[in-house]
Amino acid sequence: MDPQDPVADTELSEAAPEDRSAAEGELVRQFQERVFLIAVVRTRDREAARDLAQETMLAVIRSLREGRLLDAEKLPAYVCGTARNLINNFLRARRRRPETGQALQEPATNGSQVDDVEQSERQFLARRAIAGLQPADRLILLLTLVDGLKPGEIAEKLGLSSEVVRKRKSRALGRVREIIATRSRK
Amino acid sequence: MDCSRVRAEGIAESYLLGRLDEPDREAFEEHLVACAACADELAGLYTLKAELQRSREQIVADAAVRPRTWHRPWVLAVAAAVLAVAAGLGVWMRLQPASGPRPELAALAAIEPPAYAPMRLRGSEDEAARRFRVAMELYAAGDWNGALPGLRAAAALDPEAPQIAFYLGACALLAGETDEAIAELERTAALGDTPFLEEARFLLAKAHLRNGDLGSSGNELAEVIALDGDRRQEAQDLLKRLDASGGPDT
Repeated sequence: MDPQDPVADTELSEAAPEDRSAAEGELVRQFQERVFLIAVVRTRDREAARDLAQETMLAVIRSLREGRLLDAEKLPAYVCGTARNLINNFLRARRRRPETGQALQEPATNGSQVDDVEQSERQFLARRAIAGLQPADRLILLLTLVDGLKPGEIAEKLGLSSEVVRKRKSRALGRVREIIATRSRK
Repeated sequence: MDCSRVRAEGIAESYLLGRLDEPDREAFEEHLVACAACADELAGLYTLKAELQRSREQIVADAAVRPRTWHRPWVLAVAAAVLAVAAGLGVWMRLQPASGPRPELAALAAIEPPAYAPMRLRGSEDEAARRFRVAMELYAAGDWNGALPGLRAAAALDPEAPQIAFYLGACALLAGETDEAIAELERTAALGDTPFLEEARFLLAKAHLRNGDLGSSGNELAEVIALDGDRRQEAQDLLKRLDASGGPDT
């Protein structure tokens, strides 16, 4: 567990009722985005991921209120387990009725107003980082992250060696990471 | 799972791409929920992916307008043409051009001895490191022939050490042992993404040039340019000068 993480110290289930809502707010603030991330990667559906993250937080808060979770240390694992169950149920249900499944790979920029400031800022920084890369590096990142190609496959497409592709990819990712990280340093 | 493994193995990227097996996936998810730094890393990659996807058409279009030096077939065509002329006339390096200047290939093949700054090694020095250190003292004094045997011994003891392979290659090239230089520099490059990769490729281009193998030299220069590091400009200039020797599309 991250020692800087305030949630680690939140002993919500033991809090007095008047402190509860603040502690619950903090819990949601800390965990909801992380659960959303897991859900959106697994389902590739932002709307569903938002719902799943919310459902997860509600279920966790319910358990805490009912005193079913006494050990604050186990909170992250509990959140994760709850999220995983809900995500797996969702995926199973979607497989059973694929015709009603939502469009895969929905672009992040089409998100609703629920997108918070943090995410818009990240988008802005990602765009800036991409713009600062050389065209070939942008293409290498596109083929890697969007098309899921491995360095050897990209090398073949571009007429480069895998070693060059690997090096350029890791350098480009490093640059992007540096720029996006300026957000969390502020 | 911990942050150092996530970083070292690119776990966040593999997770995003759905490439983790179930135990690793679950371990990463558990770690992620408890770790702000790794959650940030994944959020950054996820956003980057979405933004790349959004600009796909533009990215593909921009990349289609590549520098000429990326086109390896072109490099090969130039090299083949130059070599064909050379073969036909025997001593190709003395050829006088019908028009325009021909590069002085011997001058182009000249190299500066790669600088060497001794590194402080952690822990006790093993036999390979000791031989390397002693040989590099001779190297630093400009005694290439004196340094070679020690570097060969060090390389035999520790074939995976990129600095030994690289300086053995460089030293062989300086001592006029071009074939050995090519073998050692190729071995350096094959060790992957090390601090010596770009320099090894650049010296390989020079070594092939010295052998009159312009095709291989051009290929290595294209690799150097693609690596886009400190030698990029120099590699481009060198390719241009090869081009000036009479490429078909100039």
